[in-house]
Amino acid sequence: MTAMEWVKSRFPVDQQSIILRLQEPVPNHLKRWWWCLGGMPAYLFIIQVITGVILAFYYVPEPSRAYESVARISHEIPLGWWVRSLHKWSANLMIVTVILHTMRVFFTGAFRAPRELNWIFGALLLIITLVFGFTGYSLVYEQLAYWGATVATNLADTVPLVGTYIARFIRGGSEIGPDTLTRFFVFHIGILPTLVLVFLSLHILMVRTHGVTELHFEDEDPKEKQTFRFYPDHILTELMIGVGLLIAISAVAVIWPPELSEKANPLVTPAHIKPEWYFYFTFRWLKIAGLNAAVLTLGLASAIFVFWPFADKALTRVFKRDLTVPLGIVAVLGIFALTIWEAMAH
Amino acid sequence: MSLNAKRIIVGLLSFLFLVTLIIVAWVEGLQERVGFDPLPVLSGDNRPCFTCHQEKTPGIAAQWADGMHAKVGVGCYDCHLAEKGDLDAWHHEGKLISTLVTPKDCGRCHKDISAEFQKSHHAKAGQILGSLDNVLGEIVEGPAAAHAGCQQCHGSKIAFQKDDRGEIKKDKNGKPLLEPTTWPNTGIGRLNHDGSIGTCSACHSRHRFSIEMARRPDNCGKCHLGPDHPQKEIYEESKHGIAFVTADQQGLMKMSEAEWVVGETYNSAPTCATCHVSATKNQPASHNPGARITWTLRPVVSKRQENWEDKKRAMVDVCGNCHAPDWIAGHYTQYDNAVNLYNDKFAKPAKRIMDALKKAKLVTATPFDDKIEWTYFYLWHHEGRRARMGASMMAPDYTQWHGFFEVAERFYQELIPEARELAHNHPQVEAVIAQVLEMEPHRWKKEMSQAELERVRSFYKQRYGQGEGAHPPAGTPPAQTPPPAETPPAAEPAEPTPQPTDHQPAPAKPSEV
Amino acid sequence: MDKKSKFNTETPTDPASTRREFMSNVFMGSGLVVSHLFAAGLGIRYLYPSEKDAKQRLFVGLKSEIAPGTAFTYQAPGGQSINIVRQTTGFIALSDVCPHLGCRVHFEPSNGTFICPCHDGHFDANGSPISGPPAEMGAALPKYDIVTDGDIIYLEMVVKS
Repeated sequence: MTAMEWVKSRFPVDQQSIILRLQEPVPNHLKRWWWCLGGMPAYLFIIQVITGVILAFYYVPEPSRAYESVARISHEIPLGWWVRSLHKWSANLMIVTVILHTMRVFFTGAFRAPRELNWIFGALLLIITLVFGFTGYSLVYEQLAYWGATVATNLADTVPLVGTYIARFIRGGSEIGPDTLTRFFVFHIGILPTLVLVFLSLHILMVRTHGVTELHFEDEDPKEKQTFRFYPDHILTELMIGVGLLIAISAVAVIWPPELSEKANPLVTPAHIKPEWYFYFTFRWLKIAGLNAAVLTLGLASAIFVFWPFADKALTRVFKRDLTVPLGIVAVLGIFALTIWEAMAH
Repeated sequence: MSLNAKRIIVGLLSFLFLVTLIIVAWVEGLQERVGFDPLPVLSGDNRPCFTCHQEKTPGIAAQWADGMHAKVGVGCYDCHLAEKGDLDAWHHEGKLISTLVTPKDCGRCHKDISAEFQKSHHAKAGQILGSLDNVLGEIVEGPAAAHAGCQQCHGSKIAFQKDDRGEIKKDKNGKPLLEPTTWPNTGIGRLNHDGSIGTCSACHSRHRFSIEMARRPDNCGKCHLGPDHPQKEIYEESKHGIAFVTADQQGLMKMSEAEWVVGETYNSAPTCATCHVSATKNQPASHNPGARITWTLRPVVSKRQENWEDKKRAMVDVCGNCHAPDWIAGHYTQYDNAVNLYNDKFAKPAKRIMDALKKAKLVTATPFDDKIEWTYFYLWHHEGRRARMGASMMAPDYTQWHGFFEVAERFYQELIPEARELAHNHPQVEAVIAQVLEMEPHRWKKEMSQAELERVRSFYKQRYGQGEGAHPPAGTPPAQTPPPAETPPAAEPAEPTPQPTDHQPAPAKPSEV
Repeated sequence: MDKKSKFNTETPTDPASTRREFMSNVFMGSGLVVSHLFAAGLGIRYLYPSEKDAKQRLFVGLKSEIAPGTAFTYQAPGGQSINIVRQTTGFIALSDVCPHLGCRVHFEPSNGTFICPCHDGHFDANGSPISGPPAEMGAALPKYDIVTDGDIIYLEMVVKS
């Protein structure tokens, strides 16, 4: 007992109050799996941090050695293929779940007052996740990754007024060069994770302060209690999902380990260059709309996306009706169609 | 769902996760570690050799260290060791060694390969003492030419310097002195002092023994080139050689792979080794490069190889990785036809004439003392081989202009006129010559059909707007040929003028038959 | 609906339910701990510098050139002396360093044993101790891996330049 007291006096955190706080009631609709999507990216983010950190033990962010170090991880280091595969699959799954979570929030109108700020944080997290994917893919220094980076930074170049400066800043020069890879590396392992931590903390803080939007469904019994405990009930649900995710990504990691294609060659552009699947729609849009129009429309669309709660309010005022669902469906179908189009093109 | 049910599900999933992880660990166990570059290994007896020779002969030492032997610890002494009683054995820094490493030495480890090689025609390349080529090199030209020329490809007969009593001379360190006209030598059919034949380093150059080097066409080009057997140039002219250059530049040939199997390891082009030596999916690599060839293309008259059908099947198996059966069969038809054409139209008749001249003592038994012997030698040994080899490996220019064209010229323009001159007043020999020219393929000389002549004329008219390109044999006035005025005048002096002696056979003696 | 209502009840108090809850907790906890420890083990395997991969094959000699029952000493690149013994069943490679105090053992062809001259230690042809201090310690001569390929004998060992 004296030992416990000693610890308590040095570490004055009341466990009872933590458990009590964790036991706070959450609305019943969270029992539906569809409402557990938000926890999945967080879970996957932890996996990314762990696998990312241990990948960094062997990865060398230097153009002449980057590819070789990835090859070494894939072929020489014991279990290196698996760790790299986990990192890749978990990244892809993270993007999928973030998108699904965003869609769920969007279509259920959970972004409305007073949760506008939290939508913005979430939207930024989605964009950060995509940038994560892009920088990570470039670090492999494969032919496709290299040319993907070239195309993307040249895209930034076309943004009016500031484009040239942004592109120059990202690349660390007027052309892709030795500093580009280092910059991508620092973004990927330093700046982006920090931003995710900051926005994720804000995101969760907001959820805790506002509480989640309560929703009711027709098949519910109105006499039943309207809430259940976060701990242990919801935590256990999340744990089921978490371990399920671990199994899933471990399995796909073994079945489809990432390959290593040709090393980046700045002198030869491959015949067919394609970004990762989550950029297919931008790539296709670029081909359809032309460079300048595409960059402008994409910029505008991103801005509308991030500030959607305000855009929504303005639209409702103008059109006297709620346009969220129809607009959302149009946007999702549009992006889906562009993605499929690009995927089908060889 | 109750809390307990949830917990049990989490527990079950955890164990399923564990199973997944165990599968991961199992898959890891199956992974082959690649990319590990073994270090050169200097073990035991080799360390002192290497340390000293790194100073004395740094090139050799470095080449060895770069090679595969170094990676498994096969070092200087493992190959250069000698046994007591070996003719070339000597004590060097406390070890009994020999300078020469022969197929017998390589065969200590590479037993089957060494045995197969020593049975090959390649290994017998040094046994040419009775050949015309040897007479040419050793006598007509002179020994120095043979030592630095012929024998560097064919192989020397290793000999030692002897003193007055016939003992092997040794230097102050006790090292036996090799006869410098026979060593250095990497001729492929070298006759070694230890009874073995051939030399592995002819193709597998010391001291790196690069497998890639042995698979490159340049490797064969040390010997298989020049006027009498330009196989490397023929290969370079062929589609195969052209494909190789690009494939090689693009890194598609994978020639440094340990297992180099056409249709598996690489697909873009064959090298000499691909067709004549290396493995396919159906047959192992062979150190007998003659194992897949159907004709002998070297003698005056080509013959089928022994068991040529089996050998052809082995080659067709190689071709089949890229070509359909019809294509392969078509090629063999073109090739066989070319060889038969050479044999029947030129080689056998020429040989018949030469034999008749010798029988009538119009040509002496001594080779190369008569002009016609040189003519004949050019015909089969240079031009005839080029024609046949060109056809064998799909090089059109070598088949035609460097081949059959020159064979025909040599035959009609030199051999026949020279034979006629010698045969003057020797009715028997003259009769042989006349019989040869009576043969169907040579009859065109007497009379070309009107239709044939007309075709030639109208071709040149159409194509170049000129009269005729080919002159009919004198004495056969071309029908409907425009008057001579139409042939371009002095502006085209290069237009050949008919030379009656060339085209008009000497007044034909009535055939005896 | 009955199941759903359970969701919102407080922690059960009857003994049977308590036991069920305890058991399910133990099951879940052990599963989570074991699987995650295994995952951590894989992580450590990944991070721990591996020497196994640096093993390479070294040519030591030819079967046909070693008479049965004899041994020869191979000087490994790292400086170790390794005795290669041809037994009736195959080949064995043993270090020549005595596990007692590090003297060099030598092979005695007459009876096929290894002898350490310092304190009269004896080993059999497999390197197992027979008598002397090594037998008291129960320490055998360290073994190396031997691989044969046709007539060729290779040692498999870690090589450091």
